[in-house]
Amino acid sequence: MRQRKRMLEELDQDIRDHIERETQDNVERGMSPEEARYAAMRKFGNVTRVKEETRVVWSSIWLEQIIEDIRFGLRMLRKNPGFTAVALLTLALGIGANTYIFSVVDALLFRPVEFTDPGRIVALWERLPANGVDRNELSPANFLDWKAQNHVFDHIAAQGWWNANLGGVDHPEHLHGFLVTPDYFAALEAQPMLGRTFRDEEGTPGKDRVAMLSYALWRDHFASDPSIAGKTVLLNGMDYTIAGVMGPNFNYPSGAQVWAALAFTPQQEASRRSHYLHGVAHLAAGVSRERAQAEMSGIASRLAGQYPQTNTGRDVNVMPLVESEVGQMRAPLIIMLGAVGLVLLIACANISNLLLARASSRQRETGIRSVLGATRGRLIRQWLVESMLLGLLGGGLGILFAYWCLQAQVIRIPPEFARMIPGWGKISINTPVLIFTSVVSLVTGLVFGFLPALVASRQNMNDTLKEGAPSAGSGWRRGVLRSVLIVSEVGLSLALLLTAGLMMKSFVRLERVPPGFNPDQVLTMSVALPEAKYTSDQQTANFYEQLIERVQNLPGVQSAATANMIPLSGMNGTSAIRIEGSPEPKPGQEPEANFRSVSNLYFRTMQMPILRGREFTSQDSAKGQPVVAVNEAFAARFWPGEDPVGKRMRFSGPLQDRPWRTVVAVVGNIRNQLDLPAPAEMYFPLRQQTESTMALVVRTSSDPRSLEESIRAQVVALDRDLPVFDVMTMEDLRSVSVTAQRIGGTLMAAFAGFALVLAAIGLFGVIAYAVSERTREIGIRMALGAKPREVFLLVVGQGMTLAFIGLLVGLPLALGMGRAVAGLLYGIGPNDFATFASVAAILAAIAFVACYIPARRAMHVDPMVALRYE
Amino acid sequence: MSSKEQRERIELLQGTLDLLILRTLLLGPTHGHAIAKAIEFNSEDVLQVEQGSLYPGLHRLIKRGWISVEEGTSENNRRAKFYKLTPKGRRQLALETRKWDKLAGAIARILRPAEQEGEP
Repeated sequence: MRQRKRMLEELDQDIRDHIERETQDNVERGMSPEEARYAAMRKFGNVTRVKEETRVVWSSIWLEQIIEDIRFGLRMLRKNPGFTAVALLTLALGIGANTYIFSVVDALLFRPVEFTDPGRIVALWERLPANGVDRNELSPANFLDWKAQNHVFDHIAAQGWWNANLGGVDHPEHLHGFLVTPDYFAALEAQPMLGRTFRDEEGTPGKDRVAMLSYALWRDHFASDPSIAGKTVLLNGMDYTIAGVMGPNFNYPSGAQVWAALAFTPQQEASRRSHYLHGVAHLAAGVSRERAQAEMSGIASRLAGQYPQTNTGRDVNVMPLVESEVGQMRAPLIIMLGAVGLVLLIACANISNLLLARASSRQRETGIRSVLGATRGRLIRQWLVESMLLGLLGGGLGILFAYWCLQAQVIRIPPEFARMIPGWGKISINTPVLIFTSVVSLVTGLVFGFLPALVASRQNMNDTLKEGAPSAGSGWRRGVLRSVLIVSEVGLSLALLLTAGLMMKSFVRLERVPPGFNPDQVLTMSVALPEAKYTSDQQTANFYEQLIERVQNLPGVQSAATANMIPLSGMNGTSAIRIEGSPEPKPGQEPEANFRSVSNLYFRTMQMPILRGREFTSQDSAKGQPVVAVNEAFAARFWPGEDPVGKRMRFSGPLQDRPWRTVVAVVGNIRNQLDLPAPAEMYFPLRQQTESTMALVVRTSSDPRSLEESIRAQVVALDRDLPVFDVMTMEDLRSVSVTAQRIGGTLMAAFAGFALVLAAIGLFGVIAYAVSERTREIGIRMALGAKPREVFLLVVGQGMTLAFIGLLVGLPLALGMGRAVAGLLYGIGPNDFATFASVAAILAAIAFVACYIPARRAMHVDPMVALRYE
Repeated sequence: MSSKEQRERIELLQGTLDLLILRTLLLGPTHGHAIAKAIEFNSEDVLQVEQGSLYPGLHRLIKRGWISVEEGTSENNRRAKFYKLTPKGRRQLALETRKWDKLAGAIARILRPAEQEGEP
């Protein structure tokens, strides 16, 4: 570049010098000075044009040639519409699928939560190394000690779930709310769009009736009122002052609609046993996460020394907030991205193959160009420009395809769940995605164009200019190259097919896991009774019993019950317990079990087997003998080989002054998650363990959805301010609980299917081409007495050999892929022989079909025609 | 210029000038004017080179790295740019010469029968 500038700057002087010298020569030859100068000028020619041409040398030859190459490339693509259409379709699907998956990865992994400085924001969890738990909720007392004792955070805040019933509107609505400590927004470096966030004093009981609205809630329910700050809103039957409104980009925790100030009661402040808080903190300036981790671990071990009963073995886990949000998503998403990348690689191999075939038919064109002085580099560039054009055009179509995938919701998740996936709402074809796609398109063009360009440019011009005859040597080499491409296509397809097979099989197994109850024709919906209005356990229990009775009497209802947490919903409540007669446990080693509070008839409604003992009845009232039902897993763990009925247990920890409870029943295990074995669980009668938020479960004799409105009407009849939420059938819940596996399996199957089609087309192309090249040879064989059957076997044999080599080559890759997805599989190992055998058989069968058509054609070659050919 | 003279002079083929420049520089580094003179002299004035067209050619060769340029003083102690063949240019010259011979030979073989029939 510098050379160019200097050379051009000095050009004027050079030209003057030149003319000077010529003039001098002319004078020496005896011309008059004037004549000499004129002759020199004439001999030099047009100075302006010379300068112009010299400038062109430096500036634009490269660019001009590229433009020329692009024009030529476009002409060639137009001239071969068949090839162009096949290549573009392949690329559109391949690049489109990559674009689509990347748009999901981009939203879910790269920007699930948007903060000004995500590197300084961390999530805080309790870690229990002994139990292998590294993300456990915090207890209020531990959180307050962390807050008081650390020197590494400038803000440390906690947040907990909050059911907020929005009142004062025509239709009461349940909001997804969170209670947060006042410096929550400061810890996240989040500014309100309107008004202010919470003040420190609002974190004390009595001053905590303040709320922040989410942008969507403000827009939809408050008509985007710009002067909303300072007004009041009715939540759970109480007036809350609206402090402010968060901006449209603030969506944390994912799906939050309203935040209210969290104030601990003195009793909560002392609690180290109830773990229900999520911690977030902002690193102080100059403090690294590692240093924060070290200090927090120190605090945790001091607390463990101070409170051995509750804190033994409890460490702190300081992790980047983004990591905490997306951690579990990462592996499956990266695997999907890798798989879809493999699909594109197969598409590349296929197009390479088509281009290699075209290199043969364009031999003469290439030959002529090289005779006319095109260098090898120039020829290669011409081919690469052509393939990159294809790549870009395919990428353009791919973007349209990806856009269609988004619009058609190829990956469908029910909105009430999608809402809680950080980043889900942000999936779009945005600028980063477009940049990704452009780069992928260009690289794709280079990858599939590279081999054909090398081969096509390495032509012997003498051979190609001779009429007709394709040169034997280069044809053979090309045949080998095409075979190598086919072998790799088959190998890659095997890997994808195996992965898809494993994931589909795992999904099917998961779907078939009996949940322990009958999910058919059960409708569930939740109700949260505001504590301001339902002040006593008795009031609450009365409400639910009345509701159950009303619903029971509806036509079409077989039976109805309530439970505070229903299976497969992802909700669990755990408590430390003591078994009567067992020795005092060591600190930190108290046994724990899940517990549910259920109404009478719950087991009957869910159709759970009662293995021993009896159902809960109206005698299990608040004043009756305290009772409990346990599941098989509980019985097996705490009373192995004994009859649990009549044995006693009680809570440990904060509720340890509650009375001993007598076991009255053993019920069957139910799964809270289909892929995990049932944990030990206890059931308490509604009247003896009353919870304000309950899910109604209703078994119906017809389509459960048809009863939704009449059941809602019963709730309204009891309390017209009470919203119903999370309305769904048990079948929906079961199906949603395996959504990840279903999406993974079906996407993988789609990728593998596409790969299979590509490999089949590729194999077909190579075999058909080989047959057409060997027409003469086949003709001779048949003239010499070969039977059509033998010719058929010859051709099929060639194709199947390639396919089998491909299977062998693909085997290690397939095993590797299997191992990579092993963590996502349920009930099946990555080396499952049956899956291996069946996908290999499928591939072989497809390969056979791909060879069959050209082989049939070879069988019907007419020897006479073949010999006259060429 | 008479019409006869014009017919005997040949317009240079695209790219041939580059070859001639390289050939001239094989004898040693020299400046632009001297190159033009040498081409005219060696071709006995048959090749009609507009001297100016030498410069785009020189720049093209510099850009490709086939020749380099350095400052120097000419025979009469004047400042001048000396163009010099690079090793790369030397190889290129050999290659181009072979190509040229081949092309010239091929064209000659095609044309010879016509000559033998005595057609002008």
